[in-house]
Amino acid sequence: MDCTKSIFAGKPVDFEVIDVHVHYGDAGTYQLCGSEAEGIVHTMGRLGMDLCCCCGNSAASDWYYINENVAKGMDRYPDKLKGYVVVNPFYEDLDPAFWFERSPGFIGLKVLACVQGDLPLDHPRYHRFYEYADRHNLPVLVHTWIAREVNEMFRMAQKYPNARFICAHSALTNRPAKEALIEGMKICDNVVADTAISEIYDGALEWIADKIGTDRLVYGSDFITFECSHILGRVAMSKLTDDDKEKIFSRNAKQWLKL
Amino acid sequence: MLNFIDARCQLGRRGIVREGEPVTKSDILELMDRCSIEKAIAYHAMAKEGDMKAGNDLLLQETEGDERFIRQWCAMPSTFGEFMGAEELAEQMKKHHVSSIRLFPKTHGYSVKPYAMGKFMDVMAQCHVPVFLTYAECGSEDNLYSLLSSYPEVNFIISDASYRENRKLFPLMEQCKNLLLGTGNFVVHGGVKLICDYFGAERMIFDTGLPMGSATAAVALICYAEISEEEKQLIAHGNIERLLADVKL
Repeated sequence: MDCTKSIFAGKPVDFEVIDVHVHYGDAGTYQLCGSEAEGIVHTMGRLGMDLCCCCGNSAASDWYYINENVAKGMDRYPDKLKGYVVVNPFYEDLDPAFWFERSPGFIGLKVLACVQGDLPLDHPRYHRFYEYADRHNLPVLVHTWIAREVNEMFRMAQKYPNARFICAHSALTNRPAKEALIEGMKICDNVVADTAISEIYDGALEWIADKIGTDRLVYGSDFITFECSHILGRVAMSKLTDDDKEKIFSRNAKQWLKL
Repeated sequence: MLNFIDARCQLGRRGIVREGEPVTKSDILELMDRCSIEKAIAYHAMAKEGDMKAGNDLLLQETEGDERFIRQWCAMPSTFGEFMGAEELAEQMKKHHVSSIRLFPKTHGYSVKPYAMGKFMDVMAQCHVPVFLTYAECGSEDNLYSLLSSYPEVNFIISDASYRENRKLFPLMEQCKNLLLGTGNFVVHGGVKLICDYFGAERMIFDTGLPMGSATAAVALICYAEISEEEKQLIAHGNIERLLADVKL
C-alpha cells in the first residue's frame, strides 16, 4: 500500500486504525485544543481513524469527574470511542466495577503513577486495581517513561498474568528503558507496547520492532495530549512491511482489547 | 504533491547516536527522498558540539557540489577575538555561499540579550540573514522576547517548541512579527491550523531536526493539517524560499 501517497494527499491511509492510547478532556498544565468528544471524533474522521480508546486527562485531578466525562463522550459516540477507567491510588471509594456498569464502553484501566505522587507502579495501593484487571482479564494501559517504571510494570505483569498490560510509549525514551522493555518482554507474554511518543526519530520504531517483534506492538498516539498525525505518519511511512503495519495499526489491538 | 525544504538538518558525526537513528549523509538523503524533501538547510554537528570554526569548514567539505543541501553556519558574537567578527562572518558567508546562521546560546554559553549580541545582530540585520535557533537554547521566553524585540528587522526561525509551549508562544508571536515558527516538533493537536488562523501561514517554516528528529512525522504533520493547499505550500517551502531570496550578503 502506498501510504506516502495517501498522506501527501491528506487522505486516510489504507489501514484500519485503532488508537489504544488517547486522552480525553482538558489538562490544566498546558493548552489543549479539541480535547472533548467532538474534537476527537472530528480528527478521527479527517485522518481515517476507526476507534479511539480514551482515558480522562488530568489523572492527578478529580477521578470521578474525568471518568464520568469519558463515559459521557462514549454515550455520544459508542462506535468511535472506548474508554479506560483512570484509577487513583489515594481513594478507596474508587471502585472499577462501578464504571464498567456505568458504561459498556469502558474496556480497561489506566495507571499514570508519575502524576499521582510518583508512587511506584507496583506500590501496594495499586494492587487492588491490577487484581481487578487480572480477575476480569482486562487491559491495563500503564504510563512508563524510565527504566524503573518499565521494571515495575513487568513485576506487576508477572504477578497478575491474566491482566493484559499495554506499556505506553514503548520505552522509547532512552536506552535503559528500552533494554528493560526488551528483557521484560522475554519473561512476560501478557504485555504489548504502544507507539505513542511526542519526540520521535526515524528508525526508532523499526529498531524496537526488530527487538520485540511486531506482534507485541500496538498503535497509540497520546492524542489529544498532542497531535496524532505525526505518529500516524511515522508508522505509515516507516520501513516496516504492510503486514507489520497492519498488525500495529489494528490487528494486534483487536486481539489485545478483545474488540 | 507537496515538495518540502527542510529548514533544520544536521550533518556530520555527532557525539550521541540513539538506537536505530540515522547517522550518515546517505541515511539522511534516503529519508529526504522518502519524504519528498527536495533540499535541506544544514549545519555541521561539529560546529554545535565542538569546534565551531572547524565544524563550519567541515560543512563546506561535506556539501561541496551537493545541491540537496543549503549551507548554514553556526555562529556567535565574537568575544576577545574568539570567533570572527560580524563583518568578516558576512564576507565569509558570501564567499562560501552560506545563506543563514544558527545560534546555540545555551550550548555555547553566551547571552542573547542586546548588550551581548550588539554589533553581531546589527550586521545580520543589514544583510537580511535569517537567524535560526531552538526554543530551549534561548533559556527563557523573556530572553527570546528581548532578542526578537531588539532586532525587529531580523527574521528569527524558532524551532522545537513543544506541545506544552502554547501559552508562552502565543504572546511572543503576537508581539514579535519577526518570529517564524519551525514546525518540526510543534505537535500541539491542531496547532498548525491554530497558528495559521491566528497569525497566518507566513509565520511557519517546515523543519525536521534530522537526523535526531523525524522527517516522516514532520511531513505528516503538515500534510494532515486542516489548512488550505496554498497554506501548506507556504509552510513546506514558500516561506523559507522567500527569506533566502532576500539575503543580501
